[in-house]
Amino acid sequence: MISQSREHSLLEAIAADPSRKVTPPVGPSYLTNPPGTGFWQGVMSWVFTLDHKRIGVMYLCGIMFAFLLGGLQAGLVRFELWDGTPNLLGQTEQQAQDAYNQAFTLHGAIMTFLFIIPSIPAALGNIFLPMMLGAKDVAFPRMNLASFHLWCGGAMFFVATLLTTGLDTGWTFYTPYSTTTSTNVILATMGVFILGFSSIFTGLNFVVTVNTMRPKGMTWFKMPLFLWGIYSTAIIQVLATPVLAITLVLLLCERTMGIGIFDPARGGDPVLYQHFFWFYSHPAVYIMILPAMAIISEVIPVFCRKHIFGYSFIAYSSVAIALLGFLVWGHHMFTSTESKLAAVIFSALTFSVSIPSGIKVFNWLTTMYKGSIRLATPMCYALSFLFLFTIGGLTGLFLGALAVDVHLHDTYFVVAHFHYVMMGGTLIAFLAGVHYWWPKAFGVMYNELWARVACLLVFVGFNLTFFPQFILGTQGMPRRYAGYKDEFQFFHQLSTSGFVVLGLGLFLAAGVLIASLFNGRKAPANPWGAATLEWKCCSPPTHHNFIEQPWVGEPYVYDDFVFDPDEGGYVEVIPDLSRGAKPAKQPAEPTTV
Amino acid sequence: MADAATLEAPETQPHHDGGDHGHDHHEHHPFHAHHFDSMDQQFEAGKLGIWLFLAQEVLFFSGLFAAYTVYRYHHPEVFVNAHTHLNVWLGTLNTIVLLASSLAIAWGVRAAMRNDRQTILFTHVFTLACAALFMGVKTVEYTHKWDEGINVAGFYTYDESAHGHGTPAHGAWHERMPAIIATTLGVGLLVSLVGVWMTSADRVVSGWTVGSIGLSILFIGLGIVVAKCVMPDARQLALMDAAHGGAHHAAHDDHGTDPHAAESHAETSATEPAAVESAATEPAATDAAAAEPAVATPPDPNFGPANFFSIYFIMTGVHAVHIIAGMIAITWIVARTAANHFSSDYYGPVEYVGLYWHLVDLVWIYLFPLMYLIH
Ligand code: HEM
Ligand SMILES: [Cu+2]
Repeated sequence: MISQSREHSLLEAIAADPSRKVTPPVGPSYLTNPPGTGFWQGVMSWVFTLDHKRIGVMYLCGIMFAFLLGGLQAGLVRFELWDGTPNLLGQTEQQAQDAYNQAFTLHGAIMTFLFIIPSIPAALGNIFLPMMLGAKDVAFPRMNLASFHLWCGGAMFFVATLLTTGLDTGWTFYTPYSTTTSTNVILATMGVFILGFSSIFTGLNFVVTVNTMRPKGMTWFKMPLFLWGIYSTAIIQVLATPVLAITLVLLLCERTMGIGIFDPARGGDPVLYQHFFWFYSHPAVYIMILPAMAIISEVIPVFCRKHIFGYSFIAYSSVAIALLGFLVWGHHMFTSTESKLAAVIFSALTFSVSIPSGIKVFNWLTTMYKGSIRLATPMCYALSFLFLFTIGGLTGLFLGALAVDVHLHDTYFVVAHFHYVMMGGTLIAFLAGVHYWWPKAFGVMYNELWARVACLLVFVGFNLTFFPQFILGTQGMPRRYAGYKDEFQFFHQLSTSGFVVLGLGLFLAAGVLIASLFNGRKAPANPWGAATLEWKCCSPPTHHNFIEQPWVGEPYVYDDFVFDPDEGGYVEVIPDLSRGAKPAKQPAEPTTV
Repeated sequence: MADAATLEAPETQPHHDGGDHGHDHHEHHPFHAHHFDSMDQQFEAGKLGIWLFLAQEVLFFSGLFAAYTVYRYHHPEVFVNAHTHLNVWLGTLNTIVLLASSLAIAWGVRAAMRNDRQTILFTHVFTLACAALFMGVKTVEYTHKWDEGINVAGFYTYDESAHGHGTPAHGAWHERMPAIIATTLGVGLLVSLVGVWMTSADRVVSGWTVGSIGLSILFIGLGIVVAKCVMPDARQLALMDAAHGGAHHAAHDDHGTDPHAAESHAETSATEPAAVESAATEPAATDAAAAEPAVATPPDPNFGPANFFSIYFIMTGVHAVHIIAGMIAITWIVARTAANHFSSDYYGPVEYVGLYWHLVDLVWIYLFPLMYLIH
């Protein structure tokens, strides 16, 4: 933590010698085109841009649209569950049930494949990963653009599914139902297949960028933890997604040509499908959570003005989660013909994954200990993340315990568990990241007060929606049913009310951010006093990010940063070369390892 | 190496001070992407990228190999039996062809490092020819099976008992084959000649591109011809079978693995509804049932050669798609070589495509024994 006397001496130093104040030069924003650009030229300058930031911004818009679409489906699900008889989504009970199946399926599939998986890596990662490396772009800008175009293609398949016969298999496409249902499995799985390659391309790009484009002086253990998290995620994206891809190819072949691999009537085994699917999809939950943890590792030290505690533990635990995540898929099949021995082994391995997760949580808490905590909006989200993710992770352990899972499998307990980790974890961290980096990405400050109100609403709404589902689950309410017995009604209504609060909170958060684009105060280069490189260029950055190469310092040492009222933000006071600071770029050899 | 000059002047832009550095000529290389500091960095990035892509490919195929392993483990006899429909000679031929192509493309990469443009061109064109030959042979193998009714499970109509008793081939592919051969050879030759002509008329890049395409078509045709010579068509087979008095058919029976023997297990495990169903549709199976000893896990009566061929067609089909993708990539390299893009300073793409091609070959090196050579 930076002491008050240190701050005074820094202020004096820049007053005495203003040239020691590092102020990044301001250039034309990457968001705008030079004057005189025609309308269509302008559109094309976005659609075919190779600038990682523009691609990231387009991803951001795209996934927010997907989130809205998935959210509407969630609304249908929650309101159908207001009372125990399926009556809202159709004339007859049967119709309502069918529509309900479609609603929860598309909700899950859209949220998973179109929103959460690309959310942090493809949107925020794209904008900030190269900047954190002091680089001009990712290693393969064209592939990056292709990844976004593939995402759009996949999204269109989903929209087409939605507009035709829908989909009612559940987001997991389990066979044999998925090979027999009359809904549009083919369109949807082709969409997921395409999205998979979008995800692979992003991951591949990030691994290569981090490996080969780190600046001089940024060794692996001087990388911001966000990069460690994204790097680990990227490895999973490259290694797990192709298994999903081939699984979907097999599913498509099964459906169109009857290859019999998953079809018991032809000697195949439907549980093999589940193994294939979860071999991807369990690692995929770490594709979702690792970047979220990575954001939290950035936000907490900045808003505590204190060096991150246990840097290397956090870094290694990301890699550990990524690797262990490949070994636990079997915990989704405890109740589907898995042998007892396999189940016991998978259960034990599942427990082992929670160790690195626990390490992270303790390190974040220790970072906060005796820090000077500022409750700015990103930090508020980070705190709710800590609370919600911990609940989600711990309930994961209940489910990983073999004997308990037999009771809880396919109940609302599972639904609550994964919403606590996916929404309470990833979405909240995503919001933390969006609020944290908003000033950098768009060059404006949002209204702190309303943003924090939104955060509070989201937190309350979230818990109100999903905590009751834990109780429902333990009482035996199964998931994926449009109706239920009267005894469950109270908690279901609680949950639906929570949904309303949650929705209000999210719309408010979006509103605050969008409003800032029109009337927000201009953002300084470094509003929060962070030490990572992306804050060492102007806000918003120029096309090539850095007009002058920034200094690579320790990412979590705040000693040289001081709030300068003239700038309205933090400035870096030129570091002593004796302290080991190095310029980001030298035109010499690349830093490979 | 601590570069004192740059430490003192951190603002220096690498791209504007080239004059002071030994990397000068790299900076102006036409294929140097602006976001890389040096050509070396660009090359390393591409190389890591392609390796990751290959890792991704391996995992893509791993799903198929996993499926193969699971089913072969559970039904070894079906695999051993069904694979006899594959022609080992054609498999061997394709293996040799691919190995040769791998050698050629590796040679081509080496040539790129040495600025030897002619050798890059010829090795890559040779690789293309091999790939096309491979596809031609596969065409014969596939169509031959389709004609016999051997297909993925959903379209499997092959009748073990009817075969070998002089049933003539009933397939349409077989009849269309001469026309296919004539077309591929004719069109291939024509297009190749156009390519050669264009090259001589100073349109080198398009000439080599068109020539490569023509050559590919031509060699598909040649592959078909060669395969036809190796694999007797169904009519000949029938004649041969008649001559040998169905000896090879009898050999199948004492494996105890033909579908009828397997179906008899169904009776002992009548708990499975599907099993009952299939037994019901096959009245012939009932008499053998009593003789069968009780087994701990009876083989699934629904699992038969059709399942083997599902796996066969999906695996080799996915592999063939990769071959086609590789052919497109190699043609791209040929075109760029013709345009004189590559030199010892910049030959990344040649190497990346080469690596990809090796992987595609490697997959075949696994597929060949797993499909054609099992015992
Ligand atoms: C702390 C580590 C975690 C453990 C030990 C854990 C454990 C489990 C277990 C055992 C199940 C299966 C429950 C059942 O179906 O009976 C499950 C389901 C699930 N978990 Fe986790 N989990 C953890 C973290 C996460 C994270 C971080 C995410 C996502 C961000 C996640 C997402 C899911 C999802 C989506 C399902 C349900 C899938 C479905 O059937 O539709 N989990 N978890
Ligand atoms: Cu899992």
